[in-house]
Amino acid sequence: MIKSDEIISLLEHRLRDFSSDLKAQNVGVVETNNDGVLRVSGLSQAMMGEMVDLPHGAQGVVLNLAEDTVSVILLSSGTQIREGDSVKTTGRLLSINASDQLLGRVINPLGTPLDGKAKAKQGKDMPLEKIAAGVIEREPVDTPMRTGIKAIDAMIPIGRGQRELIIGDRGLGKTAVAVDAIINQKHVQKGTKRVVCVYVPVGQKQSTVAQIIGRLQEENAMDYTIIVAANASDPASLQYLAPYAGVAIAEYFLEKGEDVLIIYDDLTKHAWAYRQLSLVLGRPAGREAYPGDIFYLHSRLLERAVKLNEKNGGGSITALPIIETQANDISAYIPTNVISITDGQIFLESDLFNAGVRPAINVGISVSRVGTAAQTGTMKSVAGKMKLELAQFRELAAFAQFGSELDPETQKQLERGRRITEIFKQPQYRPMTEQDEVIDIMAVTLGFADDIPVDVIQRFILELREHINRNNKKFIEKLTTGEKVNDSVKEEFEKIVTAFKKGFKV
Amino acid sequence: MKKKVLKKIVTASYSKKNELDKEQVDIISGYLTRRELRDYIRALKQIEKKKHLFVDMSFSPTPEQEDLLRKQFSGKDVVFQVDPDLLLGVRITDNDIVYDMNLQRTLDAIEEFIEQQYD
Repeated sequence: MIKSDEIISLLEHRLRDFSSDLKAQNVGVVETNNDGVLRVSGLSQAMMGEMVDLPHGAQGVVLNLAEDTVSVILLSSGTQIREGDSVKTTGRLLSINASDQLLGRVINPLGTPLDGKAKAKQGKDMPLEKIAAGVIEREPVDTPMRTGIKAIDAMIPIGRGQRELIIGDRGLGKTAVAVDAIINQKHVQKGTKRVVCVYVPVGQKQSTVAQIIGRLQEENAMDYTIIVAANASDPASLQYLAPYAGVAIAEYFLEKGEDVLIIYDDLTKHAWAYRQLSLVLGRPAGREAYPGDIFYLHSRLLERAVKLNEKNGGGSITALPIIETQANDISAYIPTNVISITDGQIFLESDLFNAGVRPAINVGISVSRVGTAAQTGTMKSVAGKMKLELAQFRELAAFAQFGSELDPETQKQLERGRRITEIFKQPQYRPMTEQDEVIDIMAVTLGFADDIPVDVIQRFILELREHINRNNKKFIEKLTTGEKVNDSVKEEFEKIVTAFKKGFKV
Repeated sequence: MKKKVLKKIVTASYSKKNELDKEQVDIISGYLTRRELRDYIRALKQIEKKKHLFVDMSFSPTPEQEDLLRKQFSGKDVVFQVDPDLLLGVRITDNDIVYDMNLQRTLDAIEEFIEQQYD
């Protein structure tokens, strides 16, 4: 609560400088108001991307500079804006106020709270548009960003500072993968920094966003998460700005040397919002009616995901953009654009989803261009063999459908492949630690699950994990070192599993 | 109407003394469609706005103050207006640029600052 003495001293200080306090403002007049875009005459000094003040507390951004007029997009409802209203420039480019107090909060792209709590205290103004860090300031990605999802951490590993696209049709679990990645960040691995998470829902239903917030609160993940929401009912201008607001907040933490995970859910709707704005602004329409700079819209956003070197703070921003396809068509315009920008993609397929493989990740065509550089030695040593076995299984899987008699070696490869596919199934909201993932993978790749029926595998590995976590804590510690799994560890694991299997009922 | 054509007819609407010629305006407006007339009027208003400078003060200026401001902005038609809402100081509007040097704006800025800094 502000004290009256403070107010008086503030007034005295301000009034002392009164006579020299000159401010020149550029003022224009609204000519037309169409679909959230104002055409304003005057404003001869307006800058591109400058914020403007409008009557009734509304704000806008300059997005078009013509010879005699300027086009301004409204950042709120414009029903009260009329022809003849005055528009003033602010001299400020679009920015969002970021501080540590935003952790646990839900805000809109302008920084206005949406969670019913008070506005966060004044922090640092971060520009929404910013040129990404240069080549010299960066270093190679070498620290894992663990999602807690076995299929991803083992086969498509993501590193801190990477951009990994999550792509698939509606309803296949793209958001679920992202939410699991956020929940998993509550387990801070030894020797690594905490990860701040920023989740940016763009054009989503408010009920969906509320559900996600509820789940994050249940899992105590909101303590390190910020949600920057522009829902389906928000103007297209806010949906366009939301990802940039999210990355601006992420850069606040990056400048402090922290690691950030940012999820854009989803960039397809972001592209739609930008298309709407561009068409109303009168910009020429290109392929699929998107404007000519639709690629630049996403490339400049995703380039801001970065791994900085120690000299520049050592922080990182890892981006997980989400793209929704139609009928698994990854050759459409926006998907191909974003695939060419990112450092890999995780494909979710409807056939796998319907067959009960969830998360429905097609590990055969999913890629991480960073690869094993983003894995610990432990995971690298156990996952490498599995990748090869899975590739062999995919090649042979077609033969299995013929029902013809196969040689024992082929049968063995098929059985191994089925078991690997089975262990990749994972319940939602159950991210796993690296040690548990390694145990599951070793149980299958070292052949200890070959005599377990496929439909019992899930129960087998669950009980094995519980057994080891309860009775063999020293073995778990050996898996946390990050070192390659050597023969002695394998021998110890063999003893543990053999002893466990004696009491395991199929 | 094309911008070049609009510029020509607007230029033709002014006399050699750079004042609006009523006769010329009447002749020109007779040839224009409703939409063209709207653009024509808008262009004339913009030019008239550029020719004038509005000085709002919280009190009536003295003749010396008027002369000083007219010398500062020679080439413009200076119009003085009294606006008690300014409390103290002056606001100068030069086409689309506003120079604000008044107590009301300072108090508004303080209010905004307090709202941002404190709960």
